[in-house]
Amino acid sequence: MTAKYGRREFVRKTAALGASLALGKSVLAAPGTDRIGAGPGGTAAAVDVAVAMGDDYGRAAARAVEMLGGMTGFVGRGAKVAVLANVQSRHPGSFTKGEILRSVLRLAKDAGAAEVACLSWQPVKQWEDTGLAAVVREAGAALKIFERDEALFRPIPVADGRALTEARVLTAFYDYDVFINMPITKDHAGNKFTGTMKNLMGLNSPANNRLFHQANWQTDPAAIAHLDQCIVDLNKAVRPALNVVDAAEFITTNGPFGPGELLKPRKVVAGVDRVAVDAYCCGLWGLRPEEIIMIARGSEQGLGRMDLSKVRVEEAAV
Amino acid sequence: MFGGARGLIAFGLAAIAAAAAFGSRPGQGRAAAQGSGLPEMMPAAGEAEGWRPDGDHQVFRGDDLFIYINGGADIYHEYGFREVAVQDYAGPGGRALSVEIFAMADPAAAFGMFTFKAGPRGRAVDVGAEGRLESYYLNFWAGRYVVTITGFDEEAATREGILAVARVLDRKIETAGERPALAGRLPADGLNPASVQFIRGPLGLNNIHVFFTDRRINFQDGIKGEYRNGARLLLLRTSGPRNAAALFRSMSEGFRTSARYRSFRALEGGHVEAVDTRGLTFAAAVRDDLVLVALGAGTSFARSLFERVR
Repeated sequence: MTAKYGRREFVRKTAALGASLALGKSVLAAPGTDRIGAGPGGTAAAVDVAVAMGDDYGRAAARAVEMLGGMTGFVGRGAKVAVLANVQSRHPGSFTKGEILRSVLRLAKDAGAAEVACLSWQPVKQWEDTGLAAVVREAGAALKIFERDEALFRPIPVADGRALTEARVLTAFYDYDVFINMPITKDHAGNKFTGTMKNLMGLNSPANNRLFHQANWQTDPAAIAHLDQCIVDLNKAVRPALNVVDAAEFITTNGPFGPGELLKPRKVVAGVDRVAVDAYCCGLWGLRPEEIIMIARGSEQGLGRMDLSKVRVEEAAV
Repeated sequence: MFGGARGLIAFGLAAIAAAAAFGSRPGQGRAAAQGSGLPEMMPAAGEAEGWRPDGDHQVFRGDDLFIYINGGADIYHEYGFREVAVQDYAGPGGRALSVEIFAMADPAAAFGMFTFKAGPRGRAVDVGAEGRLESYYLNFWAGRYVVTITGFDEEAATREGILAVARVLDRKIETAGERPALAGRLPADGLNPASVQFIRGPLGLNNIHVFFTDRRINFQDGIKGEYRNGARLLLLRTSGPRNAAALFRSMSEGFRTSARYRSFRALEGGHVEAVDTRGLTFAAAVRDDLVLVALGAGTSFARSLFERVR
């Protein structure tokens, strides 16, 4: 099912939700609180970064989640699950692969989720052109497309925001109990790398995202640092329960849009610690996490651990 | 190979849905296209045998590029982006292609954008002023235009379609173009021609190498080439000898004091050298309006490169 939401449709729907929204059954971490949607008991897996490798990317995704303790550690029975995939571009290696998305959607349903939905303000055309709309349908999940209307986004104050003091998050996410973040890792011409942290721009309003790009970016090298700091600040306001990263085939040049040279490590990387996951992923094409400003600052500012020698990375073949 | 993307290009979205998705009025894309000239360059049905336009084209101008490319638009603007037209094509056996024609500010901008988008490992093809074919996409530049043709699989038949469409566009664009003069200043001996990259600002420079995070590198434009053993030579052009000297002093200070570098030394002839925390060597010199930087070259090869800058 694909549903498109404009302001009028959204107001009707949220009015019907009544108490849950009014009480702010929050999917998104209030400043300083723990991650959302930890599931029953908030399973603490022994593995920090799970890496599964193989030609069957769907199986690799399932294996990676299994290595973290399984989806039931993140999705409780009856929970409503929101998924954020990357459909920024339809060029090969620039969007989350259908096999990986399908696997995660099914895992969430099998864990007993009452609803699993992909939420997006990207055009439905992107979802159709990448084949991901069909994947969502086949998996029995919902695809909810929102117009780029600021009224559909909720202002969220960012505690300790150093460049971004207010995010504007898609209000619909508040309807959900669990948030699973599903980026594809790849090159980015603006700041060299994109992964779990940058993917959250997909639930932040486009207008707010534009603030991440300074007007003087052409002359001020600090503008790149500004972009990365804004991303770090956004990640202080929103904390996914789980990150499952497409590191199977991705572009290492001309990112994030492509087309670009494809690297094919055939990996799916999963974890809760976004900084650690991003630190692992950037190394796949020779980048150093300390040289990626958002990873370094994410580590410095308490979002996670950049030093992979201090986290447990487990790799398995499928 | 590409999962759900293969053969799944679907058009025919309702105008209202498309308008809602892009936040525009129905038909606004077509209205904006009138008079731009780019859509008229697109191959018509049958001009590339077996290939036909699939759905309506789209045109994006100026800041609207952010609607199309989203976070990746900045580098296009840095090079001098003006407008892009996008058209999908359907071909034999259910294959699909996407054609993008970028109109840049001038031929130098187009050359630079081409060098950014085209990878060094592709095969040179005889379209436009320069063209390069990769495993599933092709870029070429001609005059102030950059053309990108993307397939959705890596099969030979798709690459043949890409080339066929490229040749049609090559005939239709009817303009050549010359590389900026700076490109000619790289020493030719030992240069990998596919590695040449022309830059026009900090984003382009950072995509080559992030030298410093605490100081601005002021330059007008630059050119990078790769030589044997992976050594790279970067020429940063400034507005004149005084500014080049100032940039050289600033970079030298950065090499000397930044925590990213160690083993700084000033050499005979005005060169400086340092090594970064990865062990990569850096050498820099100044000549006229240029600051010369060699990465990974070693002392003697760097000096040789500097001496041969034209």
